[in-house]
Amino acid sequence: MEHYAIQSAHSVMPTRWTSFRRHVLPSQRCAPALSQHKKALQADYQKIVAQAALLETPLKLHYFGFPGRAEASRLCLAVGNVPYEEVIYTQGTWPEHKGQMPFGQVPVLEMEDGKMLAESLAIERYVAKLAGLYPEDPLQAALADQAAFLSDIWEVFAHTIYMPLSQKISVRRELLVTKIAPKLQNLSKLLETSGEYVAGGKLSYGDVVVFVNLCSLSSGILPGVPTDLLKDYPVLKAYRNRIACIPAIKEFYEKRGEGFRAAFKPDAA
Amino acid sequence: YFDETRTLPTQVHIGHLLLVKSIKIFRGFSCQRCSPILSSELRRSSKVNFNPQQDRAPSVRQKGITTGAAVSEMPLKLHYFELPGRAETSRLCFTVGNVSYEDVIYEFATWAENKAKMPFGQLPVLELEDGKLLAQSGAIERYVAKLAGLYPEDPLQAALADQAAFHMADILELFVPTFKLAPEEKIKAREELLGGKVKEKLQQLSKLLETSDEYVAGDKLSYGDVVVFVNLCNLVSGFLDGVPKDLLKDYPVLKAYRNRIACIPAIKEFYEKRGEGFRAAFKPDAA
Repeated sequence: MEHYAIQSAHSVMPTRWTSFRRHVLPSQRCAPALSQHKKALQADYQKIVAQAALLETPLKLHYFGFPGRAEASRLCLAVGNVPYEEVIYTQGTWPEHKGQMPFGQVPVLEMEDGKMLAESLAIERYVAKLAGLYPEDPLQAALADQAAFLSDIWEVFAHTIYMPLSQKISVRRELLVTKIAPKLQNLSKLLETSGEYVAGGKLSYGDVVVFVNLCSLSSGILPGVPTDLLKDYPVLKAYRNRIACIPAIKEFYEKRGEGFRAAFKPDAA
Repeated sequence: YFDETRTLPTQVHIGHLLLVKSIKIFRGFSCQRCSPILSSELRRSSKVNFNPQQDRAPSVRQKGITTGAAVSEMPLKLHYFELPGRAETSRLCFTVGNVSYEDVIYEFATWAENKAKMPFGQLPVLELEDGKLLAQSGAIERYVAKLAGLYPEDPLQAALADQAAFHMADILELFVPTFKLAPEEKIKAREELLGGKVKEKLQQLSKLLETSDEYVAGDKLSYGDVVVFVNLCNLVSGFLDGVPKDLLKDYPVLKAYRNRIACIPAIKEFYEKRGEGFRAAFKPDAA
């Protein structure tokens, strides 16, 4: 994989950019008064988005159809109104494409120039920046990170994915007690004291990741994990519902709410 | 992946402490961190530092002693065990970036008493100037990297750093389910990993490093390099029974990369002063 070299700040013409920004990205989040440094960063992110749309080869997110490890990225892109395409693999088509991925895994984010970025957590943070969902203040970003890492359920269950079903269920039942219950208790504690959002007093990728993890737990995608798990965690249940009701997120699941995604809707879990 | 119940001998050398203290004070003057208003609690704890054993559980040792002059620039405190483990990346970022911090070291034997004081009953935890506690090593690393100037401002460069860091973390995570196994099963499971999934991921990492420049993101050191370096060293430090210390002989690209990062002056200096036990694997030519 070649090393990616980002294009210089001067390669986007200001007049085209201004008109593009005014007319094509109307729902761009308005930026509060920023320092010069922050403004430069903001311009960088918007420039990437602008270039992508101008080239008509938006970012491509490669994954399977189910929510899984790509859903947080999908939501960030949707909330931030960042143009992207999905490349969906099935059980049947995946084997022939596995070798094309940098680490033989998905999700992978394909850039405008064809270069591939791997690791779901790297992709999430990158698209969060494009979407304006990555706090610029380092401490707020750290709080978003803290919540996101705390809520991660995939690493708990990763080693159970390929077990035979009966072993999988009994191991997961044990993990629910030894790992998941303490995790959910800690997460409840965090959310009780953090306010409406986990960082910066507004929606960030930290909230998106926590939301996706809570919904995934309750979605039925993990045999052995009950779908009504959150009934014992009222703080988490309320938080999940609150995030599910955010207009851009609610709309996403109105259009795409079948199967496992039913658990991502308001009042679903 | 670093089981908090393992016991580990720790050593304190008074002369070393004094030397470290004086270097830290010097650094504190030469690179002032902006200091928010301190709470009175923080002022009280700074006085405790004059008598490290007072008001603290015997299992907690303060490394690095603050003086009256440094009270108003209370450094960050990194709470962890002595071993490199999940705190070493942050320690190195602090060091490379010349950001003052203190280690608050816990002993395995008496950790249980202090567990409840931590937000999620785990370490590492970063104690901020106002006493607030930040948990989750991944969050701490990225925060400290920003303070240290090791977090790329360009989002794609940061993503490349993240990519390498998370891939390396994936490799170490593969060992987590082996910790609770009986000794013989543990070794067998780890040998299987070394011939299977771990091998595959180390080869992928080699490919990534072969095609990037000297560093994983852009043309300069970032926290991505620090994470990869620390965890390659952790892997071959002898901490994981069943993982040979000469593992990297089969991965020449990783061996060369590890050595190159180990030779970076600030990092080399860190391990010259603090190179016992598992940290021997962090030195140049060690692995």
